[in-house]
Amino acid sequence: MFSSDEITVIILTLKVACLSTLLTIPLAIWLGWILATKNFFGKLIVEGLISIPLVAPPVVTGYLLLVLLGKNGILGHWLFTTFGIQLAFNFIALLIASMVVSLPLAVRNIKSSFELIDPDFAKASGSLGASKISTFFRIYLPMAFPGILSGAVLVFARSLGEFGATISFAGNIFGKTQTIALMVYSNMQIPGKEIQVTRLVVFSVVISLIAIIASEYLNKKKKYLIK
Amino acid sequence: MIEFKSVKYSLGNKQFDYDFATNSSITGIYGPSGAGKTTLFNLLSGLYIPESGEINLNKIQLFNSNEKKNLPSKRRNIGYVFQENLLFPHLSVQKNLTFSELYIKKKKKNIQLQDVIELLDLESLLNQMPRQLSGGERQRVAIGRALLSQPSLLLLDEPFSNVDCSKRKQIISYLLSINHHFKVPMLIISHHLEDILKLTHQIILVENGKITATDHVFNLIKNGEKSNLIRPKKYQNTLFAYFNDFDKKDNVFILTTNNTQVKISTQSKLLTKGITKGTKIQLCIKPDDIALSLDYTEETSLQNQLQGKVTQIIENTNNLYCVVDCGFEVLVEISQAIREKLLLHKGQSIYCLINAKYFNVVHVFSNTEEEKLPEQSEKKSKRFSIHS
Repeated sequence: MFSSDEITVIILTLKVACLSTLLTIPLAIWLGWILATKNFFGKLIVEGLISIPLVAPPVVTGYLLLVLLGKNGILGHWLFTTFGIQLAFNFIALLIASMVVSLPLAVRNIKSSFELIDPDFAKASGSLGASKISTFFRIYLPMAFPGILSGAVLVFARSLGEFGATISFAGNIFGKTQTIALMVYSNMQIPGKEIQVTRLVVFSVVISLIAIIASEYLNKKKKYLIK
Repeated sequence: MIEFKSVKYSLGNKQFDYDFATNSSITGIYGPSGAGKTTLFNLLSGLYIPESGEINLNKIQLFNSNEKKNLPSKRRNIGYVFQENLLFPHLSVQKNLTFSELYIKKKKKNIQLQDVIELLDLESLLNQMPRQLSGGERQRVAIGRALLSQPSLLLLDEPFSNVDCSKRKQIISYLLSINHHFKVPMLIISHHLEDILKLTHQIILVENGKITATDHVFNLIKNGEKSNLIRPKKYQNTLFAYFNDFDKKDNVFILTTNNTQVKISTQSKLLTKGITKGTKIQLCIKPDDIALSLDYTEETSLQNQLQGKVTQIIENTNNLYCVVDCGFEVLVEISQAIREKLLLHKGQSIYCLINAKYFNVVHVFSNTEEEKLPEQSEKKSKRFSIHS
């Protein structure tokens, strides 16, 4: 059904989507929790910064990542000269690009889940002897779980389809950083590759559709659970 | 013993100033909406931090502004039943009940899960989720959950607000059982003086963020309390009596209290299961359900004629009341015409006429709840099965 090159790209895409989901979600839970429950100076700016990749052109996000983390970038130069770590144009770059663009989706979803929870549950939990950490793990986290899962599905789906930031920051290197979206883009430039393109497009559409349906289902569950 | 010493707190423009002490096993907190009743609970439980003052519970300092001491909420050992129940919606009834287990040292477990399940009739609800429960059931679970945190004080904020009238009676009965069985002192907030009076006559009046009175309701009425909140009209005479016999002819229970015999109707559901001689029963009767007569009369359908003495006549704005000592004091509503007709005065001998069906059974104490009675020690137990 798929050629070996396509399978290589599909596996790499799924690998980066899974890893990106696993790494993004804990960060999104933390940020979602802070933004939903705490008030602090500069909260709007933090929310804005997290949401930039949602509204800015993905190529701009990729460019900014390059400026920040590239070999000659503000942080990247220091990382390369001090530790010999290179973050651009490799698998790590692919992962970072995927995480940065999908993080706002997860944070918004998880934040709204936390906001739906009546803060008085924390009072009830405290009166029963639970500490704030215990209340987070026994009350807030399970009650927000459908929202977290829905966020995870969105992160996974966004990672699968990521293009702009990836091509700018990680490049389009077969076997290293070429994902399904990038392969579709490359093959579109080559005459006679239409069937390959169609196969990958159908694969992407099916996966995206499943993800959206799952996310919607979990969002409904989220409201049901906290009633 | 709960003590608030000059506790000051402000919330927006509202100022709260609490100063009181209570040692009653059940204390009612009564006052209008927005008077500061829940704020008092939140200060006591540690959810709000006062600006100044001192709060003590059983000689343990919970808060002291001078010593900059503030015991966190989780270490105050206070069970809090919130007005909205706040059962955790993602946990079953059983898991809600055992939520506090993780935080309690095994040695401290005086209140056992099984006892709470039995006392509050929760067995059939254990596997249900909170959304599947009725208002009364949710309230019972919330009370059970708070009890299982092994509190040294139980706070109940409007425990009757989300339940209908019949369930109110049921919850009042459960609360009385809990209080007697586990000996956990309770503070209860309610808008309804009638409900509070079925649980306790010791109340704290809260008005405009201040404590305006801390006393027995009867004393407040007798002392002519100026507050509009305490109206004799809302008062219910409460008495504790012990079951003695069943009169098949008149179809009434015969109870004794302070050497006085009281006959009550068999209509109460609480008395239909069977009752043992010496069982303690809590009754109440409204002041306007009692009639007065100068003499004992054979020609009456009323089953109770209690002999007593007028100890006080209270002139209220709209009504007249007199206090009669029949071995226990009762408040009786009268009219000016009756006062003049009977020439009522202090020290006068009088009969209180009460229809057996006007006595409202609030609670029948189970054998384990009862104080040890002389009748029981004589092992004269006799079981009756009454069918209404």
